[in-house]
Amino acid sequence: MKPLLICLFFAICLNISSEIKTELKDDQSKLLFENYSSMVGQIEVIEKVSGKRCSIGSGFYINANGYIISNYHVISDVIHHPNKFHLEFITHDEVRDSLSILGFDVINDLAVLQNTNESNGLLILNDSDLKKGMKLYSLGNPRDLGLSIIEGTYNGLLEDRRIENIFFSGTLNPGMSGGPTINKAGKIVGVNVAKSGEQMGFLVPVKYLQQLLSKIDSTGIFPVNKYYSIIEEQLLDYQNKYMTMLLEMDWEKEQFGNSQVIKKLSQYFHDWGDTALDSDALYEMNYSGSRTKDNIYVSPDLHTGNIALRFEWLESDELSTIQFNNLYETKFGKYLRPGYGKEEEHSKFVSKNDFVTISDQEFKTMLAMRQYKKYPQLYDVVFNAALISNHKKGLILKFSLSGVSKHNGIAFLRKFLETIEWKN
Amino acid sequence: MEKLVLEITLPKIEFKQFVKLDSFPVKIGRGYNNDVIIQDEYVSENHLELNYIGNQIVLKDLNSENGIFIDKKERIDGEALIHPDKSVTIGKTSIKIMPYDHQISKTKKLNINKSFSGRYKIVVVAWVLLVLNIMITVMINHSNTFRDEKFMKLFNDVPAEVMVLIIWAGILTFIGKLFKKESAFHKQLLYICILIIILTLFPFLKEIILFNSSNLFWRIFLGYIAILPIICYYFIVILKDATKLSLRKLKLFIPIIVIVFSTFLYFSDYIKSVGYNSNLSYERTLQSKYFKIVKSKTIKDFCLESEALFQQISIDD
Repeated sequence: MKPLLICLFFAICLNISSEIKTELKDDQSKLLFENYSSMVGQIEVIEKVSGKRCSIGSGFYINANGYIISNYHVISDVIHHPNKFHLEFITHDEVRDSLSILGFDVINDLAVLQNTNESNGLLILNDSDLKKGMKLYSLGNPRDLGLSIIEGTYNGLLEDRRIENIFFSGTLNPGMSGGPTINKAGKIVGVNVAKSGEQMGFLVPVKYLQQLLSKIDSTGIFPVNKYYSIIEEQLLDYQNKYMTMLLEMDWEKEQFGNSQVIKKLSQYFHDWGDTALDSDALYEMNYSGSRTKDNIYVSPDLHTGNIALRFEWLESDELSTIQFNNLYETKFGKYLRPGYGKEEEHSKFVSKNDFVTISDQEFKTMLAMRQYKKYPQLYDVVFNAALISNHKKGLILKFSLSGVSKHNGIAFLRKFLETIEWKN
Repeated sequence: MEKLVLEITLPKIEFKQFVKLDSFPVKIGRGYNNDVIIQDEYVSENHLELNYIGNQIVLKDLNSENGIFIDKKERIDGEALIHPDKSVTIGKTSIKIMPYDHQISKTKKLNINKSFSGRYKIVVVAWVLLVLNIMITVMINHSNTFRDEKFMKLFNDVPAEVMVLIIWAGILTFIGKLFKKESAFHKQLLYICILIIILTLFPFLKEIILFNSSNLFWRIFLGYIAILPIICYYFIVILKDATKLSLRKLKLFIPIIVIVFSTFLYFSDYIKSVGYNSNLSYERTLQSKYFKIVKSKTIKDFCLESEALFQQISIDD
C-alpha cells in the first residue's frame, strides 16, 4: 500500500508542477485574451417563429461602423431563408443585439455583418508577413462554453487545395467558426473556418477579408433579393478561373494498362490507385484516380466545386466473354458522384449514350448532366466511357465535375477525351 | 364356347396385341406354320398349343427350348390347365387368355376441355416455374459468391444463361418422366417451359435487337417486339381452350394483345425511369455493346452534340 501512495504523491506533484509551467507560458495568451475578448462575440441563428436558436458561431468587430466578421457557413441559413431566420450577436458582456448581413464570400467562406452597437475596441487586419512556426491565438466560443483562447502555430498556406487556407496547428472546436485568429501583436491573421482532426485548424487568410470589405465599400450592401444571383456569380467566377487554368495547361499522362491516361491534373488533385489482385480472383483490376479537396459550402443541402477523375483497367484470361462483360458492365454502371447535394437542389439528370472513337478505339459513353435549381448557370457533369473494341480487356474512363458552366463542362469533356491515348 | 382373346405383350414394345381365339387347338410359336406367330427370338419354332377341353384351357408344351412359365415362376411340364387372367411367359413374351368382354374398355376421352380448376392449376404451376426461373437466373447472374469464386471456377466457360438452360432441360426431362401418359396438362406444362426458356434467352434477344437508339420509346418497343409473338401464341392457346372459338376469329385478338402488351411494357419501363436519377441509371448499361448499328462518332462531333443535351434539362418538376 505504501509504495502506491508514494507513487500517487509524486504523480500529483508532477501534475501540479506542469500546471505551473503552462500558466507561465500562457502569459501571452492571457494578455491577449484580456485585451481582445471584448471584441469577439457569439453569433446565433434564431428561428423567427419559435425564437429558438438553431446554430451558433463566433464573430468579431472590425471597424467603428459596427462591422462584424464571421463565416458564410455560420449565417447561410439566413441567406437562404431570410424570412425564417434572423441573426443575433451576443457580446462579451452578454449584451444581445440583432445583426444584418452586408455581404458574403461563398468561395472563401466569409461574411460581413453589421451591429448597431459600437464596440469598445477594434481588431486590426495584419499586413506583415507570416513565418512558419509563429505563435497564433485563436478566439471563439467553442460549443457555447463562453469565449476562449487557443494557442497554436502558423504552418503556412495549405497547398493541396485551390481555395487558400492557413494551416493552424491548434484545436479549433465547433462554435469557434468565424472567430479571429491573431498574432502576438493582436492583429488579425485569419478567420477560423474549419478543422480536420486533432491540432489541425484552417483559417481564411485575411487578404480575402480585405477584398470582400473593399467590394462592399464599392458596390454597397448586397441586396437581400439578389442573394442567389450573387452566390451564382461568385461560383461562376470561381469555376471560370479554375477551369480556365485547368484547360490551358498541359495534362500529364501516365501509362495505365494499354493506355495513356491523365495523371493528376494539378497539385490540388489527390490521387489514389490500387490493384485489386488476390490469388483467388479470376480477373485483374487496376484503378487510378484523383479528386480535388475543394468543397464549397453553399448551404447545408449543397456542397459543390469538386472534380474527380477515375480510370479502371480490367483484364481476365479466366472469365468467359459473357462473365467478363457482366463484370465489366457493373463496373461501368458506377459513376462518380458530383459534389454533395439534396435531390431538390438539382434538376433530374439528363443523359445519353453514344459510341465515340477515342484514339482509334471504340468506346461506349454515358454523358449525364443536371442543373442547379437556384443557380441555373451551373451544372454537374458526369461522364463514363468503356472500351468496347477489345475482347477481354476493359478500360473505363470516368469523370465528374460539380458546379461548372455549360461551356466549361463541354470544354473539359473534349480535352479529357482528346488526352486519352491507346497504345498496343 | 366362351369367346376368348389372346393378349400378347412382346418385349420392348409397350402396346399389346390381341388375337381372337375362334377355334381350337391354337398353335403358338415363331415359325410360320403356327396360328399365332410371335416374333421373339427366345420363342421356339413351335412353342406351345392351346386346347379347349370342357370349358377349360389346356396348355401343352411342344418341346420348346425355353419352356413355359406361369406368372414367371411355375414351369410347365407337358400339359397343364391354365386359368384365364394368369400371365404365361414364353421366351421374353408374355401372353394371357382373357374373356372377350373383359378387355373391351371404354374409349378414353381426350382431356382437352379441362375444368376451371385444371386451368387454375396450370397457371399456378406456370407462375411457380417462372419465379423459380427468375431465382435461378438472379442467383447465377448476380450473386457475388458465384461470380467471383468457386462457382465461377467450376463452370468457368459456361455462361450463366447456358447454366439456366441446362437446369431447364433437366426440369423438362423430369416432367416428361412424370407424365408418361399423354395429357393436356403435360402438353401445357411443356409449352410453359419452352416459353420460360425463351424468356430466359430474352436478354440476349434484346441485345441482338436493340440498337443504340436514344429514344426510350423505340428502344423499349423494339425490345419487346421480340417476345410478342410468343406471348400472342400462348394467349391464343389459352383463349382457344377457354372460349372454344375458331382460330380465325381468335386471330382478330392478336392486334389487341400486341397493343395491350406493348402499352403495359412501355409504361412499366417508363415508370421505372421516372424516379430521381433513374434516367441516369437507365443509361448506365452496356447493353448494346456487341450488336451495334450506330456508327461511332468522333470526339469533335460528340462534344458538339453533347451541348444539345443541356437543352433537355428542365428545372421545373
